[in-house]
Amino acid sequence: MNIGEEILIDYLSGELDAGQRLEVEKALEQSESLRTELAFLKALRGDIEELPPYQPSSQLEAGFKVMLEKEKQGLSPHGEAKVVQFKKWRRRIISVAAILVIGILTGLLIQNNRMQRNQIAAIQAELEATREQMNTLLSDNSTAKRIQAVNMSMELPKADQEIIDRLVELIHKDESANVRLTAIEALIQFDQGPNIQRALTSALRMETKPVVQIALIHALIKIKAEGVLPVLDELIEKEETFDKVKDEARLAEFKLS
Amino acid sequence: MSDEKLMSLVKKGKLDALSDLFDRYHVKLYNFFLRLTHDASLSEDLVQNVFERIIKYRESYRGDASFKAWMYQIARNVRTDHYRLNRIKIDDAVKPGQLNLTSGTHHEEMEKMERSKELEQAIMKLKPEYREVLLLGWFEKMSYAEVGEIMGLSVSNVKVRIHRAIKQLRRQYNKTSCI
Amino acid sequence: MKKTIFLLTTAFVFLLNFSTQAQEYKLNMSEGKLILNEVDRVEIEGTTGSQVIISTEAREKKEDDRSKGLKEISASGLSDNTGLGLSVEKDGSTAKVNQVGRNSRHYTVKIPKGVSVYYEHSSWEGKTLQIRNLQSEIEVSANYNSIELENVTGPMAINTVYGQIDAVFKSAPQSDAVSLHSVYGNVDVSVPASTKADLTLSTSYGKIFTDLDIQMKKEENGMRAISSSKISGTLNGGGVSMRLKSTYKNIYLREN
Repeated sequence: MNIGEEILIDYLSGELDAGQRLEVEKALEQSESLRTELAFLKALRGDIEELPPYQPSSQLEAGFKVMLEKEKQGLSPHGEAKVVQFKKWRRRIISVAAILVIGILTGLLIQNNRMQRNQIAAIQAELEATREQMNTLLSDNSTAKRIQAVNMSMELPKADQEIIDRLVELIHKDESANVRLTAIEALIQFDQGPNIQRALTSALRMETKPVVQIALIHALIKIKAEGVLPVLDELIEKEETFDKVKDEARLAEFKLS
Repeated sequence: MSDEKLMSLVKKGKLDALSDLFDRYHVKLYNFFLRLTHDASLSEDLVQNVFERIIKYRESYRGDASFKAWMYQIARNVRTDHYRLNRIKIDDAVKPGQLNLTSGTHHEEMEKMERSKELEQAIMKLKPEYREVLLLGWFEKMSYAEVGEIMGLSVSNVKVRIHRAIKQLRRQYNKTSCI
Repeated sequence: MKKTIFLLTTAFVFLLNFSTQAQEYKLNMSEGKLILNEVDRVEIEGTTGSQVIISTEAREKKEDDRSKGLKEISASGLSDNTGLGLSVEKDGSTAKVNQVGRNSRHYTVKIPKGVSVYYEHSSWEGKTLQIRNLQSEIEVSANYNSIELENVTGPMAINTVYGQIDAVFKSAPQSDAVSLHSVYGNVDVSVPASTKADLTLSTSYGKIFTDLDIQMKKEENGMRAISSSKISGTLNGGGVSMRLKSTYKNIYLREN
């Protein structure tokens, strides 16, 4: 057996039989350069195994849960060789969510009187109308229009999952710091649960604008998101972090821990 | 409970068991797709589709087979179908350097972060067919046989690809890092 | 030593020669977006016509023999293609203006009605940004600049970390979004008494002052987290949305 890089790779991958392994180990004892080579490959494998994972957005888990609910209720036709349409699942989730909401609402309606029915319908209609308007505005290139869309959401007494998702998306992806700032404010007005805490934490990790970083830190303090502590550590450690942001991060650590 | 046990529950119609499998694998799958497609939102869609298919094809799961290998097989199909559906060649879809996310949990020292970043970039530069073998073999620590089963390759073919992948990777990674 | 003094004197005389000469750069543009990136001292003004006009007084230009026939370039590889110490690149409907290297010049930028403006600045060298008589949309994201707005009627979204924001609306703002946000500076706004607006005024550590008659919004239900440091209300029955926020300092809303 000619022992070189390839054999060593197989050796590290655990793909050699006992006899071959013995042969490799013997050769290793005798050759300094082979040992260096193995050490290098080992380190490389270690580095690969320890690559830090990227975190998906909270939408993924939310989407999965809705899908699972839907399957459990047997709403989806089985065995049909449907082509799975990508990019559309979010919309589907929303429509499923809407069905669920309507289902729950219907349940309520049976028990409740007409007045409440009207109220619920009114809220539903308001949500629908706002959502439609929001979507139009959000697709606009103008920053002011997108801010207006976020303002609009804040007028709602209550947001549904779609609106919350849109806000999270804006905080993560909108190019305008001003839009991100407004969206942060809107978001914590509606929801302060663990999903939102995670969403804001990941936003803070990605954010580079000091003004938005500070707003995120303040929002996270407000909703008592203790999970943000490691990210605050990172910010404080990072050389390029704006000084005031470091101060705010330290203050936040003090308040949250 | 083992993956296989959970999946056999799913097969029997106890769909809640899938939640546990989702918790175990969705981040891994997401990273697998992300490193192949460089597209965060697409990768989330693809993960969602893997779990949809697991439910849809749960009857076809053989209780004795490795769940992980079966899942990755589905994952590969999902991805191929996506590109077929959208008439994009897989190679075309990959635009290195596009991915610009801050990575997940790392409280390690800066140096290690730097190294991870460099390694990540070196992996991005690999040819797709090598990248996939490397991700499954060395990142997911699967055996050559398992990788072969997932990708529809012979063991010797997997071996050759792993060797080439690491050779290419060393050329990229060696330049920037000294171990 | 004598030689040095002589050289300095000559340079000074040279400087004086340039001191009165205003320089100008024109760019044909009647729509799209103008990005001002890391330009320290800027005054933005609305104008009619279809040209963006940038002008500066060459007072501080240190012209010497050595630099004749050469162009100044900056560490970031930008080169002065305007003769004003600025680099201008146009890409489709967007034009990007960068300051080339350090200088202490004061630039006036005239903006036609259809062109929106985005001003971004991150270093401590950013000075007060003045914006006057502008009808188009303006967005500002800065760390150190203070911002003064006067008679600006277009949509505006302004944020700064250290600077303060002063805005004087001679007529009520027309567009549906005014958003002013400073972390460590005061936000001081004056509007005509007849302004119809939906207001959100908030501060975490400062105070809110006003001499206007704001109709406070009632909390409709328990769903909202309205803190005591946040006021939502309307002026004259509601209208334009105005959001003023200063995290650490005060908000002043006055009648003008």
